[in-house]
Amino acid sequence: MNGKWFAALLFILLWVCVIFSIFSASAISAEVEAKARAEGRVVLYSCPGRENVEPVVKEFERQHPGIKVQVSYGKGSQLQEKIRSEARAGRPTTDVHSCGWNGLYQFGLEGYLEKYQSPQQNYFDPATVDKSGLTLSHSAHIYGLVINTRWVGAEESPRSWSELADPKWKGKLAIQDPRPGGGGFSWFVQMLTDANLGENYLRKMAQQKIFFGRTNDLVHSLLARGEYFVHIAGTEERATTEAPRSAPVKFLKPRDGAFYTRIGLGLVKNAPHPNAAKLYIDFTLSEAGQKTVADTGYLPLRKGVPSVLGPDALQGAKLAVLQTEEGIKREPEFAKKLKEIFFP
Amino acid sequence: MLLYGSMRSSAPGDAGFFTLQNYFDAYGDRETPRLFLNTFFIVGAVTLLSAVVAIFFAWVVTRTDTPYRGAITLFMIVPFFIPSILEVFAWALLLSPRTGLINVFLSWLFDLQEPPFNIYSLGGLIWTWTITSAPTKFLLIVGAFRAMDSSLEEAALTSGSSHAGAFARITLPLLAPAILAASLLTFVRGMESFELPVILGLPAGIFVFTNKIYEVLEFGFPPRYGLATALAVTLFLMTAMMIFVQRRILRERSFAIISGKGYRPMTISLGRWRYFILAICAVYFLIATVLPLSQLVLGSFFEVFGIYDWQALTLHHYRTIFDDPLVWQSIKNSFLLASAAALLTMLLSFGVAYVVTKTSFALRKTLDLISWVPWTVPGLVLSLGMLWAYIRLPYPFEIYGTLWILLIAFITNGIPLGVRLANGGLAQISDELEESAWVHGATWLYAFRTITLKLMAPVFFAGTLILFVTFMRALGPVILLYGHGTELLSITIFHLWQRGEPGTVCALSMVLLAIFLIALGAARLMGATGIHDQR
Repeated sequence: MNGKWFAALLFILLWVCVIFSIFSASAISAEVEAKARAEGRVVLYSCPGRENVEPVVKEFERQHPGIKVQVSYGKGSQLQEKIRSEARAGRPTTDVHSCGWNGLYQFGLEGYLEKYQSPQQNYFDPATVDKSGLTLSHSAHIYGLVINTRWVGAEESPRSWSELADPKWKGKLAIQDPRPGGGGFSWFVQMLTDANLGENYLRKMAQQKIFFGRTNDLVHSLLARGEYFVHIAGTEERATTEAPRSAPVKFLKPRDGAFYTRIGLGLVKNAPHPNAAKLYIDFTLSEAGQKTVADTGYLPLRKGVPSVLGPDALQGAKLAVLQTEEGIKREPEFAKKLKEIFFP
Repeated sequence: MLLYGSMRSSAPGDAGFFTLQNYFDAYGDRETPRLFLNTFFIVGAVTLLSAVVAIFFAWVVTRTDTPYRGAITLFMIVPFFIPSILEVFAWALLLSPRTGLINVFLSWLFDLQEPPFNIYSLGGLIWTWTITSAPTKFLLIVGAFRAMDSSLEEAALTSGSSHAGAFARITLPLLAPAILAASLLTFVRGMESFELPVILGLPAGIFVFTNKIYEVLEFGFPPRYGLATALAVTLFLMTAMMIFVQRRILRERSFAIISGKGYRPMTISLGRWRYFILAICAVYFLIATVLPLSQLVLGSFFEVFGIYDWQALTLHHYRTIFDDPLVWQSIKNSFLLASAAALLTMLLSFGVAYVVTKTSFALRKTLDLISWVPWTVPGLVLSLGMLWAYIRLPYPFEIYGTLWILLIAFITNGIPLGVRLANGGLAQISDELEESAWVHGATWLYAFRTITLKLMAPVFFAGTLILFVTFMRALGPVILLYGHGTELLSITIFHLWQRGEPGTVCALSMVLLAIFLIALGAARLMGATGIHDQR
């Protein structure tokens, strides 16, 4: 066989492989779709709030008629404890869990998540894909300062984390309670590991009579109505796309470093509707799903999907230390320090 | 199960080992003595202040000629039917330090630099607790005021004593056992209270037993079930002790002041003061009922709570609740569960009460005592105990996360009240009625059906309604037991509040209030509140 024939045969073989893989993929997805329809619903336990999840759910239900998504909202520690209790009782009811990536990943390491690699992950930056298959990151959000513009004028508004240690802010600051994890804890770790701020800064902040709210949404609500002036580690989308017209709030990127965290999805072990769950995960990671995610103000991680916050939204923001390998390893040490400084 | 759970090293359903570490942790904590102190001080203060309010109103409606006494009674009873969680939310909004309407108004009026009130403080906690518990206390003592024979008061007045002197030296001492019994009950209910210490106490860093248990479970990472259960055992022992004391007092003294003969309670003529008293009552109702309810209505129509701009008027919160399937699921679950639990509790209670009051069954006293036991178990403690007991049952009894476990929790929680109501009703039916039917040849079943059941029907329906209302607003007994698809209205409202959606909470409160007002109307029609016979 000469080289010309060999090249032609190789080309035909490749072509057949491509055609076969396309057909088999669509056959698989058709099979998943059929099974998902038979299952009829997906139960989602979500840390992201109603504003971020409802549009995605509505679009999913529109594209997949016959499959309903039932959502329970809450904070990560609370939802994960519910999933644990359901597992202990032998009555799993949750299919998909959505939360900050690090909490989700650790929950997966505890054995409560099933590994799943979505075909849609091929369109994501490999750096954002969890090799273990336990979690599937779909978006990110930026943490910074959110101020109430009714109480804080443009000139007096803080421009950095360090300015918050000024006694003039005493009793006017609020943050999500850092003890069960979440944005408040991410901020604590970020400050603790910052070479310029560190423990000294946090000890000064401990004197500021900071209000610790149960959830980030609660703190934001208290800020919007003017109960507190500055939301430490507030998120950009909460102050922009999601804020009601009449809410006097503004997001500021601190000069000494905004940070961002990734939000992920996980397929719960022994999910009662596994196919519908996979379909929902695939949809969230798909182009249509990511566009809907982007419209809610989150930063989509899929390549080529623009953010409504602008192309430079992530510029100058660092990935939260807690979402790095080292951060996850050192979490017990951070938790101990938190107790020592803020909750002695 | 509580004792077992308090000595386990693991979460309910997980493998672990027996240990006393949870008790060492609970009692080794330097905060624990403050827990005892806070619980007794706060609940004691609330008991005392609510007693003052309740005695004043009971005296006004039963012993004075103040105008509109029927309306005053009605206004005192209506808040009893409003879930306290809604009142707590309303006060949390009204007295919010910087944006609460009362603070904003007073700061504007007196040109204050700092807000005069802070709901998230010891004072705020005691104030809200007093306002929400006064109606219950009023209901508990107004009957004794009305039933008291006034011949001793008349004798004191005839002997030259003033009205105030007769009240202080005769009326109050005579009513002391009834007031004491009611106060002890309020004290126990105060120790068990869940939503108020969690909503107002936690942000202020003020801990009593219930919010500490909740904090250990909610903010512990991971949740420390063993420690929470060790604290729950302590709370259970404290409430059991108080109930024991209350029962002793009730048994020995409470009915001694009320004579069975016919009489008409003496009415004091207040002269021109009666309008002053009426004004005090009106101001109280304005502050205690109208203001919080108005806040809920107002909050439900504005985009952002605290920003009362005409342009921010919206129906968004109502749309949110009507579009949310979870809200509909919660309403459906609450209705179904509260109705079924109320009906089953009353059926069971009547069975127990019939055996206790109408038969010579050897263990009837033990049965009566057993029916009292759940009274000593605070709702949150019951929830925790049931979690330990039911989380890992073999097939086909896996009831965790289903409506069945909530049903069991409600029935357990409601039995003491159901049995008391049924006992009261059955005690009024003389045994002679059934006996005379038997003498005339009727079978036991026929006599029971045509006499006892017929006469007991109003008490049965009234009891069912009272329990329905109690279950509709209950949070503590179910907070650790619900699962996906079994959320109740009280749980959904609580979570909405925690997620910082006050507008949605206000809108949903309107729905819940509508349900309660319908129930109150039905109860009034059946005479369950006794409003119809107020003078």
